[in-house]
Amino acid sequence: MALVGNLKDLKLPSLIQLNCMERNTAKLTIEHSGKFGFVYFENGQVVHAEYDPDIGEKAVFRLLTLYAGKFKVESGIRAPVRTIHTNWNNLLLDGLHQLDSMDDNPERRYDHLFERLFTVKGVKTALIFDKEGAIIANSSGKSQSEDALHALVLNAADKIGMLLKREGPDYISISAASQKYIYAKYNQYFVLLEMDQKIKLDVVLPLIKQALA
Amino acid sequence: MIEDILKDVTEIDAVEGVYLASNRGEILDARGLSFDMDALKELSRRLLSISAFYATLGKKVTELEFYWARNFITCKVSDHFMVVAFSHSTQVHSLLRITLNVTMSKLLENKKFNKWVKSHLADRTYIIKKCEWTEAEEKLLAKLK
Repeated sequence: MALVGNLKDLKLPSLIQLNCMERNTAKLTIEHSGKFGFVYFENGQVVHAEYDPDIGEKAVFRLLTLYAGKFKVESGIRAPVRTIHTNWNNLLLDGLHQLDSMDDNPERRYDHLFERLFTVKGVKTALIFDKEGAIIANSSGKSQSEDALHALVLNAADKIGMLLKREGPDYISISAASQKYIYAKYNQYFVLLEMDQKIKLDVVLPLIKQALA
Repeated sequence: MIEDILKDVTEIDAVEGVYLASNRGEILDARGLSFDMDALKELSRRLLSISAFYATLGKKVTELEFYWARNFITCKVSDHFMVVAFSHSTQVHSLLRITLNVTMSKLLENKKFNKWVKSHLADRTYIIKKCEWTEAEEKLLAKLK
């Protein structure tokens, strides 16, 4: 039976450690924003990895940067090719070391925030944008064509605040097209979370507030 | 009759007031609110504009909520009208949402209300066409389309 879960709950380093220490031969599949990555284990060693466009160690290092994504471990599946010859311990240490040094990279500045936000149940994507709607960071990596929409929504919310002799609201929740969109202030920027329609706002809003703190 | 329907909302503790507006931004009834009619109409236009922006992208808004530290606005949006309620306690959010859902269904069954709605029919993007926008907003609207 396959082991399935989400990287939000079980991080990739733990998954690699688990499979290697158990001396497994298995295929680990990770899906993040519609993109698939694979890590193959053979007798407790990582022997091959793919994450488009990378293969081998580089693919493992990129997969280690993912803070969320569905995963599946299927036992007994062998790698189609061997591209990794480094011992799993060293591979993991190298990867985590690279991850630490990448924290200074501006493109990854918001990864820890996304990681916290993705621990909130129901969060599908997260987006950081400025008052003009320009995208600062996007968890899904997909192109965003709705920047004008977000700027217009915030502008309208500010006007609503002014009419009520207040600042713009701290949070806005919009139910539309089977989704819930939550806009929240984040320093000088704004965060937009696309969430399951079924989430209970009273439950998730304090968690979102905590993640943004 | 409509007054009685809205009364259910204002009877909830911490609810300051509630009002009913068409998709054109016309106010049918308001209870418990201290705003003058012009302010209420402007507020409706802004709320409806958010629904209109989403409608432009093919997304139908059914609910809008705005949170401040101690204040809360919830707005139920249907194809032709919206109900907006104001409260100042987070304790009543769930009850308020449920009551507003009931209010929406009661309104849809009310003959007087349906007659009024029919005389104020407008699609969800009506407000974009009819409102005045600043130059910056015009640019954003052009990008939206």
